[in-house]
Amino acid sequence: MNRSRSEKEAQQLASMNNATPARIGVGRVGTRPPTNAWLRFRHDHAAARDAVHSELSESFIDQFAHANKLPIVQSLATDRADFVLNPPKGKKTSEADLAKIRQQCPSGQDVQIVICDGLSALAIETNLNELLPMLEEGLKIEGITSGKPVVVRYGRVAIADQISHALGAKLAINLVGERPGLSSGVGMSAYLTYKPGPQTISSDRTVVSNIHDRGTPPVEAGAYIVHLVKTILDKKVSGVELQKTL
Amino acid sequence: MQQSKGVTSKNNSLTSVGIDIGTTSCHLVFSRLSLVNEASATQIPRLVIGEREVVYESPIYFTPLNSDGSIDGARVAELMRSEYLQARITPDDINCGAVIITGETARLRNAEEVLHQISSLSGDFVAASAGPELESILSGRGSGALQHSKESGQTICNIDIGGGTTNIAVFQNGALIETSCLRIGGRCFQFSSDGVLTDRSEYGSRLARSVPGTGNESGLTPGANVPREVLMSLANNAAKQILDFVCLPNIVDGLDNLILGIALSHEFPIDEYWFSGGVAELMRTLLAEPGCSIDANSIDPFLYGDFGYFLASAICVGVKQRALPFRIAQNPIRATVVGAGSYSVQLSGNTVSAATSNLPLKGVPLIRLNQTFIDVNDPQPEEISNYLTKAIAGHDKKASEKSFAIILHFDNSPRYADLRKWASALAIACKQNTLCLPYIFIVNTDSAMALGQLMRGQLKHDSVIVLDGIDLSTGDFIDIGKPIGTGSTIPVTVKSLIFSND
Repeated sequence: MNRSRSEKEAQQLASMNNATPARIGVGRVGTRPPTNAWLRFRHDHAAARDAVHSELSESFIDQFAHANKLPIVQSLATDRADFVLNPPKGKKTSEADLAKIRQQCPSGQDVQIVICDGLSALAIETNLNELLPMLEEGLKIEGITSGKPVVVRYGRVAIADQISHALGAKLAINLVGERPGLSSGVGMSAYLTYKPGPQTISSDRTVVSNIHDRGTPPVEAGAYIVHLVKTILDKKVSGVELQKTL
Repeated sequence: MQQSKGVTSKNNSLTSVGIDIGTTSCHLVFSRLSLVNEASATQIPRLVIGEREVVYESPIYFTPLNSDGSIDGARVAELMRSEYLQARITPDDINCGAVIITGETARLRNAEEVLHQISSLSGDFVAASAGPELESILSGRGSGALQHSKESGQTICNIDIGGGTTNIAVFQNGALIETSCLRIGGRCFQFSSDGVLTDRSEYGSRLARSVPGTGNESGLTPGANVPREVLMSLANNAAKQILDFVCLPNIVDGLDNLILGIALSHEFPIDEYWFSGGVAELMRTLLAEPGCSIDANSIDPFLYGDFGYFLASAICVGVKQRALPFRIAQNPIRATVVGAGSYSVQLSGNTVSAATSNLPLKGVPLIRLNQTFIDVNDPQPEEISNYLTKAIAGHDKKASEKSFAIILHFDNSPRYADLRKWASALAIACKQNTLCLPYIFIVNTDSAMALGQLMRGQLKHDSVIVLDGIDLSTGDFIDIGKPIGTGSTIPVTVKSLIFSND
């Protein structure tokens, strides 16, 4: 009673599918993909597009930012469409918003956390409640000070460096929604910059990417970022230079 | 810490030793295991073993024995020491590995003592004796059966026939399905070079009674010159026992006390049978002979002074009669030792722990926290505490004297709120049982760093080690090594009950 060849291949494919979210072995009908594979592709593509256009929801702003009395600012982009079409606008916030931040946040801390919607506001809403408490508690256990997180609408990675520089923090952590892909629209990244400021360039940042339930679980990522913060403060360097020391 | 994909890390290899002290032969291999970071540069590093290269193989020696049949530990140690010299490797060079002692009860009387005698050779972190279940797994890994099942999608049954035992492991799609072990091997009878019976094992005596006409064993006592036909018919019986056991369901009649562990389930139709072990080495020779017969001129069946050639011939014939799809492993006699040297160690996922100064820890008993009795979503400290108390009572070690490793199993990756509850409940339960520090936990999900941080927060101290990424589907004890790579990966070797004979 041996397995038939097709049974065997189905089991083999199943074990490969378990190892990757990629669309492998979907089969074909004539020259086209089977209907279910095509529909799944369309569905995932639509979810990715929705994620790009998603805004931080009112309920999230209320339950997270307002409840914790966190400052909410905006990048130089005027709305979501402006942000998507003009990426450089997402890297900076206005002087007025910086003044507001200075007023509401303690300065001179070890760590400043900045939370940006980036290219997927959904990613922030999905993962933040899991990651942030781990991160904040972990920093406390390690005796590392951190001020009040800042929430930014239409923000991109560099904006955390500007804000953290304005607050005189030693290290900026930017939690940002990743550009959605076809396997996940809710991936979040964390960018860490030591001594952030106008001089900061991309290679100065250490990044942890693919934070979501099917990638690095956000709760685990939180604990890992604490470890990275400790290492960076210890070595006084981040990004590519940090990798060279390890 | 963050290397690009596929690039080996700075401390990019481990040196591993496998030592196999069997009923008939003993030998060792040294392997170099290269470490590779499998994660991309922007993700949490995940160190895995990339290449496994056998860098030195010793000759195969007859296992030195004392006059009472037990293993002569001093002479084994001497042999092994000379191999270290030959290979220009010192015990300090060894990072991991395993020593495996197999054989009949009589041989194993002094196994612990033998281990002690070679302990100075095995470095800081070498698991002592794996136990029959893990031996089956290691021989199936060392033979290449596991890898082939992964590459071909086949279900493969690896049968490692040695001098004293037959270790069986079934693999499908690169995963272990089940293991079993029979106390049947090629050294059940021993002969002088001219074919006079000199000794027989417990199984040998039993086999002798199975042939009609020799029921009184008169023809099979030491000193007898047993006709080859009688020996062949005994070998056919032994081969039938092995092949029936691996091929047919519900074959346990006549095998009482011969099965170590449990019988195979036979729920997984086998695509291919692989043979390894010393007897498979002889099978390979015989397969080149007409009828796989020992009567060929080129073969001296008493060359190794035992029953191996007879058993090998009978198995070859049996396999062909049954038309079983089969193959002989590439390096049959070394399958177990290669498994022990190259496949006994596992690497943990990235972990952050302050308690690594306590490492290495050897022979840490595993407690499988049975979460079917404990609500995963609402763990109660009292329930966990009672469970731990009972589990510890089953060990001869006192909780306060030696660390235990507590295994947690979650069906899905636990959320922050769940992990927090678990951390708090576990902290209370461990304190109530006055467990020895460091507390050790192993989780099946990617949660080690998170649980570690939460536990430290609860305990207000750092003496806690949490590991993930370790397969503990089998095993009773673990050895936990010193961190490797950049310090966030811990090597772990799993062992089953040492010298269990039932």
